[in-house]
Amino acid sequence: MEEAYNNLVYVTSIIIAICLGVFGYGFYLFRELRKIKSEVSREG
Amino acid sequence: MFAWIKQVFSILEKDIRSEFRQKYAISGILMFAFVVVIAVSFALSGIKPGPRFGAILFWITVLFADLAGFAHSFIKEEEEQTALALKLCTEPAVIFWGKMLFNVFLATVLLVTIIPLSIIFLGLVTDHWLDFILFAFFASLAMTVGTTLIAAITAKASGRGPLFTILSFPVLLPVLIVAIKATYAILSGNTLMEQLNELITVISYIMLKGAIGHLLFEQVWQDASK
Amino acid sequence: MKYLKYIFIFIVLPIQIYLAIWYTPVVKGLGESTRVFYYHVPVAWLAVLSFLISAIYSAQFLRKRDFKADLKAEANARLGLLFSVLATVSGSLWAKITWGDLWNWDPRETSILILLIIYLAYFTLRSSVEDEDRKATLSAVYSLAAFATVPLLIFVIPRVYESLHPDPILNERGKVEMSSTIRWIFLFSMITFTWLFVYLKKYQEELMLLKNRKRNLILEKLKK
Repeated sequence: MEEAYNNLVYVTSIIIAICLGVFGYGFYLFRELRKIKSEVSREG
Repeated sequence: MFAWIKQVFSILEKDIRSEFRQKYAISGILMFAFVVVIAVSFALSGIKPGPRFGAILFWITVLFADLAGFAHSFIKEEEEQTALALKLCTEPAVIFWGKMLFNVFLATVLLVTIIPLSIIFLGLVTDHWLDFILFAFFASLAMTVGTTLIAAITAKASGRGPLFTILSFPVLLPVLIVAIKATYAILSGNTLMEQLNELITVISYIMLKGAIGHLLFEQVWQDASK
Repeated sequence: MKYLKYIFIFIVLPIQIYLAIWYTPVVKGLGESTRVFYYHVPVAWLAVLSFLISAIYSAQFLRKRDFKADLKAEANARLGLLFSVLATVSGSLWAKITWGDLWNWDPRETSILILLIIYLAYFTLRSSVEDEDRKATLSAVYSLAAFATVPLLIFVIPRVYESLHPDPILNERGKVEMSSTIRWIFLFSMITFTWLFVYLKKYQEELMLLKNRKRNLILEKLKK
C-alpha cells in the first residue's frame, strides 16, 4: 500500500464514518424524541 | 478493633469449613488450572515456552482459574439463602473483608498448585525463585482485591460465571498487563528490585481497590433481597 | 438563547469542516491523514467525558436514590458507548493506513479499547438484572468501581509499553508536533465536538426520561 496515509479516499472515508456515526445518532435521537413527545402528550 | 478482626476471621473460617464440605470452588479452580496447563503443554509437544510466552500462559491461566472460583462464596450465600442471616449477623465491611480473605485463600491454593505444575509441564525456570513467588503472590492478591466487590455484584445480579468474567475483565486488565511484564522480566533474569515499578503499581492497585470496595460494598450488600 | 443552536449548525460546524478538511497544513509523518486527527481525538475525548459524567450521576444516585440520576447515568453511558466504538474503530483504521496494522496495542489504542469494554460490561450488567432498584444500584456501583481503575490505567499503560515496544514511531501520533495552526484547528475541533456533545446529552437524557414516563403512563392505565 503505497503511502496509504496520503490516500484521500481512505482519509475521507474514516472522517465520514466518524461524522456519520455522531450526526447519524444525533438525528436518530431527534426523530425518536419527536415521536415520543407526541405519544406522551396524547396519553396525557 | 480486635473484635472486628476476629469477626472477619470467623467469616473466613466459616467459608473455608463449608468449602471443605463440598469443595466446589477449589475443585473448579484446580481442575481448570490443571486442564489448561496440560492442554497447553500437550499442544506444544514438549517444546518449552520461553520466558515471554511462559509468563503470558502462566498469568492467563491464573486469571481465568481465579475467575472460575471467586464468585462462588457470594453466589452460594444467595443460592442457599443464607445471605439474609449473614446480613443480620454483622456489618457489611466485615463480610467484605472476610469474603476477600476467603478468595485470597483460594488464590493461594491455586498458586501453590500451579507453580509446580508449570515447572513440570511448561518448563518454568528462573534464577530468582523468591522474587518470582513473591511477585506472583502480590499480583494474585491484587486480582483478589479487585474482584471481590464485583463478585458481590454478580451474586446480586443473578448472573453467573460469564457475567462475573465480563465485569472483572476491564477491572483486572491493569494487573494482568503489569503481572505479565514483570514476570517476563523475572523469568529472563531480573530481580524483583529491578521490577520495583511494577510491584509498586500492584500494591497501589491493591490499596485503591481495597478502599473502593470497602466504601461501595455496603450499597451492594444492603440491597433488599428480592 | 435558542439561536445558539443555529449558530452551531450553520456557522461553527461548517467552519470546523472547512478548517479540518481544507485549510489544515499537513503533519510530516501523517500526510493527508492528519485530517483524521481532528475527528478521532475529539470523539475519544467525548468517550472519556461521557464516562466521567456517567460516573458522577452514578454517585449521585447512590447518595440520593433519585431515579433520574440513574437514568442520566445510563443515558451518558449510551453516548459513551457510541463514542468509544467510533474512537476505537477510527483509531484502528487510522493506524492501518499510517502504521500498516489494524491493531498495535499502542497505549492509547489499549486505553480506548478498555473503555469500550467497560461500557459493554456496564450494559451487560444492566440487562441481567430485572428489578429496577437493584439494577440501578448495581450498575452505579460497577460504574464507580470501573471508574476508579481508569487513573491507574492512564499511568500504568504508558510505562509498561515504553519498554515492551521500543518503537520510535509508536508515540509519534501522541506527541504530534503541533505547529500553532494545527493547535488552533485542533482546539476549535475539540470545542465544536464538546458543544455537539452538550446537545446530544440533552436529547438522550430527555428521550430516556420520556420513555420512562411513557412506560409509567401505560402501567398506570393497565392498572385501571
